[in-house]
Amino acid sequence: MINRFFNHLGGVITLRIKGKNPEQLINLALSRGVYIWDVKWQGENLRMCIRNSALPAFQAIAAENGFALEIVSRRGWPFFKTKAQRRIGFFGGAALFVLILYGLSLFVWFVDVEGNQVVSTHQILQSAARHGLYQGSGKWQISCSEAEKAILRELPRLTYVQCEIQGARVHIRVVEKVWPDEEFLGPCHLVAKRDGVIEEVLLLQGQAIVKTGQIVGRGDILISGIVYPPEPEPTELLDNEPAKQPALVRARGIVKARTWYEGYGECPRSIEKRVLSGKTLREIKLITPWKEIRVKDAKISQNGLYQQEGKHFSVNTPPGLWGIYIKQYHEQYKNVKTYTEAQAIVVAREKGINHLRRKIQPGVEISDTRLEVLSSPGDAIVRIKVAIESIEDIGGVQPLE
Amino acid sequence: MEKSKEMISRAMADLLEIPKDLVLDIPKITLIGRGELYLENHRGIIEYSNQRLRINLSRGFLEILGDHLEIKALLPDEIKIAGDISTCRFVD
Repeated sequence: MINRFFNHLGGVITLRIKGKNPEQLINLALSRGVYIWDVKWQGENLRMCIRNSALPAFQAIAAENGFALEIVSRRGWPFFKTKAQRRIGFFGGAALFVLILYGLSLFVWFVDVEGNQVVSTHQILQSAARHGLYQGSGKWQISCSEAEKAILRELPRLTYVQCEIQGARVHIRVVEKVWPDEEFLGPCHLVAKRDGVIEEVLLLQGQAIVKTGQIVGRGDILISGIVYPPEPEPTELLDNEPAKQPALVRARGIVKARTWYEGYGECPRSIEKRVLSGKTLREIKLITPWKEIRVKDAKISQNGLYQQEGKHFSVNTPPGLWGIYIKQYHEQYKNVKTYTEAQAIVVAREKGINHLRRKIQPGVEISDTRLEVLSSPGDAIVRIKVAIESIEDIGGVQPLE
Repeated sequence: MEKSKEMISRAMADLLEIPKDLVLDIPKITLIGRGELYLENHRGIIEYSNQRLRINLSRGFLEILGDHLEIKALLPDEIKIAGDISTCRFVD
């Protein structure tokens, strides 16, 4: 391998020898220290390889002994050099390309953020940019350890930051702090969060104030955090013991009540909708730090309806912003849909229930649904009121002062 | 004269436990399967064709018979031959 490398460094010449008894020429060359390899017969001629430096000596021996030499090929660095001199543009271009590639790889082209859930990527990127980590910054200016410390200082919600430069990309990996759930542990009452009729009371700690079937309003105490000692027996009153003080506890328990929610829904009898025709027109612009260049124009008609959508790819570089902007026009046409009254009621009911679902907490059991049509039969818009009856835990914490 | 010189050299090599190919200038052949042959201490090529190669030695010559014989490398005292080697014999 190393021999082959040095052969190519000095240049390899493949020769064809014409003449009788070429063994004689080989022996003479050997005696003069010429290194010969790949000797083989090719028809009537002997073919062999020698180093470029040995060619004059070999030619002299061949001439002295009446052999004709033909150079079949020249390989190796010296011949490549002459070829390169002839094609200076090509090799210069290749060298320039490598140089530009190297120059561009000295800058940060992409910044990735991983591991964040609560803290937004934008916040992390802004913080990183303030400390030198942004698209287009020179890698020689970046100090990852300092940027990590600064980001940690600026964003207290983060507990760990790691910045890593991989080629032209910077990976910022973060770990956020996990806060414990803030449960109130001091003495408190359980009060009603909503109006309702009590269905079930499960007391865990405290003193139950309400009973099944009782009507409660919002803010009424359901389970009291003040527990009074039991009434003393008349015989015990004879002893001159001091009266026991009430205990303050954190009221705990489940108080389920029947509650009601009301929602509203409406549906016009005739709806005009814009529907996509499937035809799309595209406008392309190239963004350079100096000028915006229009590559392709969208031929849109003045009276047409279009839904616009823009896509933007850009890279921030030291001279400025480079990018491409693609704007798509999706053609639309008007479609009028007419509902019968029954269909409109169904749609309005769905809307009313969906509206109610946003108010009701997840996990609430719906026991009954009622519907009331508010509009008259000939109205252009069907309006309905939806009422939902549910059974849910209405207890909420109210600290004791 | 040559023979007596060789005998003395051989006796010296035996006495001093020196490899004989170093002292006596005798050929050292390494044959790898039927495809490759290395020869050290040769004295040049006498005849070369695709089927026969005769290499001069300090005493006599080595005849190699086979097919598609090629001289892969040739140095003043080393030679590497490749091809389908069928016979390899010393001729005085």
